[in-house]
Amino acid sequence: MMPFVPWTSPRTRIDDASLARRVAAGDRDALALAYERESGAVYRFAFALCGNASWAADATQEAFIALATRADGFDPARGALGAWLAGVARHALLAQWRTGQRHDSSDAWGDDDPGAPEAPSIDTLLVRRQETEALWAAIRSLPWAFREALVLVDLQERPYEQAAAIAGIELNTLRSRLHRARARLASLLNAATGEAA
Amino acid sequence: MNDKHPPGGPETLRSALARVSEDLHRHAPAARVPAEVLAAMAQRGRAGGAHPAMEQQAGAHLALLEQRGPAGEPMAAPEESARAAEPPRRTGWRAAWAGGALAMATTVAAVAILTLAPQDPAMAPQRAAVSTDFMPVANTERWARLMADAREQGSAWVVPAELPRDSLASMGLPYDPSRAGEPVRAELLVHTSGDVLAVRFVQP
Repeated sequence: MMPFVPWTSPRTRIDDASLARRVAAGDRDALALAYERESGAVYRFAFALCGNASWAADATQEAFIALATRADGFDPARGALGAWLAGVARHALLAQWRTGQRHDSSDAWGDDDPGAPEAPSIDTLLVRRQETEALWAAIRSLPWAFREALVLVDLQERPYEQAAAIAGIELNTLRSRLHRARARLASLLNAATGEAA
Repeated sequence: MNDKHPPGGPETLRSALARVSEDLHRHAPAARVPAEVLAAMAQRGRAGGAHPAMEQQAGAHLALLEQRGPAGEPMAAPEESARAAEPPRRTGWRAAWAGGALAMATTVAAVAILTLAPQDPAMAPQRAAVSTDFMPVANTERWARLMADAREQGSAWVVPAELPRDSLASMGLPYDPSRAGEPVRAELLVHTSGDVLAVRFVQP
């Protein structure tokens, strides 16, 4: 049997603009390369927002379908290709939420009203405060706007400007939402600690 | 992680977020581009045909396959040099792919390639060492129809693809069940209609 030879030869990194142009021209290899580079971060962003692997996968797929069919809509002057894809995935998730396609047992969306009452999973937080699942529950109990800011900046460590572009908001608005998200999360965690004592 | 944290326990919140961030990085999507994305790309793609080099190779393969006909021993591909001995395998007709998913994957890949513009050679996959010969996969009637059509139009392509590993078993080739989750790289000989005429495995 012949020894395995790598399928593709090593390539120098192709910039986002060139990659998008090739995808727009119908280059399947370029699409595969874009997927290899960007799908992980896009998926994790979507998953962190909604907590549902299937929805996150759907949103990721929507993002790459958008790239496959509307690659000429990406403007490299406005940001990175990954940020554009994350923005498309975000819209896909929001569209899913607005049409009410929720999983019955999931509290994935939280409440979009910043003044909404506390999440219903406090008992879980009291018992398993230090566990990752409890942390995720606390994050996902945040209103969408706060959760999104926290995911983009604190969990995915994106630059503020990129995070604001993905969320479609001004930089100052992002900072404000991030501050309130952190304060809200800290309050949830402290409240759980206080009730457990 | 950013430095500015609310005064209610920055270290606690920071460590909590770091833990969640680490957990988040364990999640990943499917490794390969989904077939639906390829199909969407194919639908909007151009009818420019395949890469000329791919078409030339396909023509040579078609001629050899036509000489052999739908049954019998596989013939060596024209560009291949002598290869190391391979384990004995069954040859002959296979009436259909094993599994609808396999057929869908290969059809989508074939449709995507057929409707793409010619690729930049710099981005084309490097031709890997071939491990098997082309094996026909069409039944007698379909084979005759497609070969006649290909002969008349002179158009078929060699298309790289990744197939489920159990497709090796469906073709009578050695199959390691412990690697069932790994795809196997192959090359498809594809008619302009999208019908797959033959397959050979590149990296069993």
